[in-house]
Amino acid sequence: MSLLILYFEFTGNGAGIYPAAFQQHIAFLNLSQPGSTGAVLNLGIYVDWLTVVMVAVVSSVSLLIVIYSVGYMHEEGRRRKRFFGVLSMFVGSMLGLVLANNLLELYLFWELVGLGSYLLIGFWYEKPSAARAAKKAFVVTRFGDMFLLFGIVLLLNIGQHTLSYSQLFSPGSISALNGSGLLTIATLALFGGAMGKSAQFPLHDWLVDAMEGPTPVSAMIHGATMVNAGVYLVARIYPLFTQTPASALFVSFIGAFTALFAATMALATYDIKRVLAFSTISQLGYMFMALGAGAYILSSTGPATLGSPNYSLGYSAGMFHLVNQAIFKALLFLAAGSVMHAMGGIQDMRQMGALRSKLRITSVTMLFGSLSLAGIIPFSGFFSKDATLEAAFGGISYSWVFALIWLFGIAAAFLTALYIFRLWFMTFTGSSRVPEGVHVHESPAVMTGPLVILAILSLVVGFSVLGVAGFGMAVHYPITFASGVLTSAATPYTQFGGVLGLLADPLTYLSLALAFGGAFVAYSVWYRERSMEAFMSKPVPRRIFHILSERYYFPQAYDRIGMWFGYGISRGLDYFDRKGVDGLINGVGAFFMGISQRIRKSETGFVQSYVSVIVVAVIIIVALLLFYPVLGV
Amino acid sequence: MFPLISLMILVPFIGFALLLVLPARLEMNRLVGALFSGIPLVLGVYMLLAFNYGNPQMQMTEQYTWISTAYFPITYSVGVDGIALPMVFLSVLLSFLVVIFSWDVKARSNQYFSMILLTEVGVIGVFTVTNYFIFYLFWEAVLIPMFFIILVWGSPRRVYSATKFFIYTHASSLVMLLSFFALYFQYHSYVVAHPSLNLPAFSFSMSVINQVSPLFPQFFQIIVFVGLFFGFIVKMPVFPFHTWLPDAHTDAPTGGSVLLAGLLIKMGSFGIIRIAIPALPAGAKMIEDWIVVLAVISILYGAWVSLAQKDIKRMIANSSISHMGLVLLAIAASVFTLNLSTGRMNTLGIAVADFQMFAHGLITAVLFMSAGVIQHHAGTREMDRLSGLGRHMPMLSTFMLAGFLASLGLPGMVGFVAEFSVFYVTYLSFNVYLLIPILTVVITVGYYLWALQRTIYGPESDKLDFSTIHDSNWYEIVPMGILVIIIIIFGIVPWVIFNPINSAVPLWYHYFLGRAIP
Repeated sequence: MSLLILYFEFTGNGAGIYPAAFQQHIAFLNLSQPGSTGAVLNLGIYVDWLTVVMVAVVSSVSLLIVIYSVGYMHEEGRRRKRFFGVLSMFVGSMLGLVLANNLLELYLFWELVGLGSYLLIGFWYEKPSAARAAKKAFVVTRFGDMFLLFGIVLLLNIGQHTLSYSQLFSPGSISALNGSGLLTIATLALFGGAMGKSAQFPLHDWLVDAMEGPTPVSAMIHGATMVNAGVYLVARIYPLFTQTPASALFVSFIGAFTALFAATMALATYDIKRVLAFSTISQLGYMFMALGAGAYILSSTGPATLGSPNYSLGYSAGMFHLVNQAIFKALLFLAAGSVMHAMGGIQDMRQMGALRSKLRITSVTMLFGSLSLAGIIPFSGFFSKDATLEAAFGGISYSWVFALIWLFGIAAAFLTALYIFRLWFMTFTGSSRVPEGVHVHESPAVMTGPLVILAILSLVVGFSVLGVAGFGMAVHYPITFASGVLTSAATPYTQFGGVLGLLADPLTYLSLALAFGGAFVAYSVWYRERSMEAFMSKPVPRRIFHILSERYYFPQAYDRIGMWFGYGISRGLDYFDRKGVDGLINGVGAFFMGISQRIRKSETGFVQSYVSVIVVAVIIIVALLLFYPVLGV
Repeated sequence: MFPLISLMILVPFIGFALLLVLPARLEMNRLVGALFSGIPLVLGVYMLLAFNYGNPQMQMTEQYTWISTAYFPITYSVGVDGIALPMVFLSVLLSFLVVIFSWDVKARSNQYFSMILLTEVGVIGVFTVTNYFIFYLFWEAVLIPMFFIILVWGSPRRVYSATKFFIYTHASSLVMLLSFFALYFQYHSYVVAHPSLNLPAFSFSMSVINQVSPLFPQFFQIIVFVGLFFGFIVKMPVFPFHTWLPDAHTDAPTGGSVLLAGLLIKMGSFGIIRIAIPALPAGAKMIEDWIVVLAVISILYGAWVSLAQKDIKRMIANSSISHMGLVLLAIAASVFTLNLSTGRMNTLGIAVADFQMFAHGLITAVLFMSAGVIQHHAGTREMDRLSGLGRHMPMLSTFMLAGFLASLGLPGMVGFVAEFSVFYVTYLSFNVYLLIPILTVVITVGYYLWALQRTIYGPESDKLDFSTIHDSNWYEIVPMGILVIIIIIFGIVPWVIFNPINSAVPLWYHYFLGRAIP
């Protein structure tokens, strides 16, 4: 089905489906006071080009991963049932997420995706580290989701009280939202959810620990499904970001910073899967950087200067990079899984080396993925990464912050090439460091098949999309709400550049040079196996390496905060509950018990004492009655 | 139309009496128990089908004069409207499932099932009566069987917990009774002072008293509302009157905990919705700040304290405080929208609170059942001793996971809809202050997932003898399965149950809505 849509997409010249939106829906909840309008929530399906691209990516890459899993998981026995069941639920939720027609429905599937990741990361639930990683993934993303939920409730209360895309992004609704003055808070809150799901700084750490799951799960989370949800969300609510420059700038800055930040940590990791995890975080940062830049430019220029060359670039570049990242990251993970499969589960690159001759298909396909990730022409990653950098560069003329953002992006591009070729050279070339007794063997065809397909895709998608119909033609951001009509004058195709446009741009050569530079440094160090001992023994590099390998002490800080915020406070409150609140209650009980003990003593059983008390009481009452009028109360 | 509600109350009562005189033979007792709780369930399903969802009025009403003295007329009157419908259904459902779940209760099975049936009688009565005095009778009728359930079948600390539960809630209900009488006498003097109203001089009927009680003097309203409110929030329970709950829930047998958390604590919030606010709206309005503060403290405090618990059942009990805090928050959000001079109020929050009660009743029953299964099969509830149950108890792990996820508000389940609605009405009244109570979603995830990590995940604990641990029995899994299915159904089509609530609330509140209140 989705492949069919994909086919239409690339042959339909962009005129076919867009902006066709299937507007079917069923009732979900009517949160309004009887007799007045309020929040009416429905579930439905919404399809536009963005959806089509997402569906195509999610379903096709997932299919390949599932086929691969058949080979990878064959030793798991009966547990495969659970694995494939949860995997289907996971992919289904992701498809539901991109097909939703309102933000509440998106949130609904968003959380189900989170559940799927929880179950899959914790698939080997006997391992304490897996259980911990699964919990961490869910709690950290939930922290972001809290803001997303807040943003959704907020949006439901301002503007036209709707969450459905077609109404929310209508001109009237946008202006009403602008009038409320809360749109910036709302967009930032929604982006909070995206930060959690797409592992952006400072909520990035869970994605690294999520490597505890089986490798196909990592490929699924990183390539096809989960982390893309955050990018999709930002792209989906793009009309709101184009109204809020502050939020757009924030998105872009966080993205660029994360891109650089994660790339540095990837340099100091020896675990083959963790390097790729950092790489995912970094690449997602690029997407946010481009999306934010595009939205900022739009918010600054407005409809008056539609001729601005960059108006569509950020959006298209971000989504294009998403597509390519999904392909080459799935490829890299599956190839890494193939290596682990061959090595009997070893993930440490220090125990690999010289695997190229034994793992021919894996090494070649992984090289394709690495080239694409590093942004080397003519692989697809080159086109999209260059476009994201160009989008950021285009923002410089609107805000100086984009100079910084662009520098972050450029630096990250260099580091990307460096760390991915470090990985490739350490794994496949040099001298063998494979431990005794490990029988290295190439994976079966059911695993290498998807690798080959993905490798081919990572090479051709860049061309076909730019060359034939134009990805930017299909997936672009129309300024329908601003000018009233889709302005065909500013053809999105030309705005996106195209192959020739890219080649004519000097910036292209800069980023290419950086990518080659990174690859060359990696080559000269790790291919040649130069000793790093002398360099690393100096205090400054050793210290930096230590900080990087400890991930800037973020996991420790998280644990510290978690322990303090969660356990410390809760222990204190629990103590207060038992001793303070409950102590008070028991004190009241003890007080009455004590009084009753005292009073019991007066019940002596002697008639004389009773009579004497009665006599005294009568005297008091008589005295009171006598003096009552005198007191005159 | 046959007397549906009265039958629902009468049948378990007959079962209660019958079981008391029967000998303690488990095989026979449990069948009797299932029969006499099954009939109300069938009646309850019939009620769901026969209910006219378009009609916000009280339906299936019955009215019989009990005491016809001029000064003390008491009428037994029952009925079901949208507010009561989910709660009544919940009552009959949970009672039946508790009987099934207790299929092999070890000691004194005749008395055990009879006590459960008596609890059912009281709870259904509380949710359906429309007379203050009878309300009190049913309210107290719940207390006694629950006291014995904890006292006889509970864990080692049961005497302390049962006594605490009894004294605490009984004291609060006496305050409630006093407030009822205050309403009763104030009503009399008001009617005598306003003969043109053409109302009976004495009445305990809610629909009669509520016609004039919103017009009572403000001072009276505040005092009496505080009395009613105290009576109800102790039952809910709300910080700082909550400490009976963890003890009672922890030391009660599983069936008792399910009834306590699923039904009994709902009686408190139901009382606020049904009685306290419509009777004395000005009183509620005057102390609205306090209600909000208590609600927010309960939400966060309950969640945080749950995080510290080592006993899984105690953790679940504390989470109830947090979730009932959401109920109170929704109620407070609605009270905040009340404008005394125009009598306008957005009743959405009340409806949402009722819905959250329904959701929590379903979910918390699953949670306590799973804790009961662990206790039953593994012999301990200490999470430090439990580990790696997943491999040995896959069915339990599945349903426990489902229950925990429902409780932490996973979309697709009824808990999410309720929670989302509560946050929605909270924003309506308090704007961005929503950021404070919304923090609970993270803490809740924290304690549930941590609990899962320590029980069903991880390597097999060396403190347990896994050779004797087997998966849950059919009578434990079936109730949990039924509940999970219902939770998912109402998570996907919540409007089925929410719309009748939402339309019934304004009608029940119409005595003061739109009127200037002093």
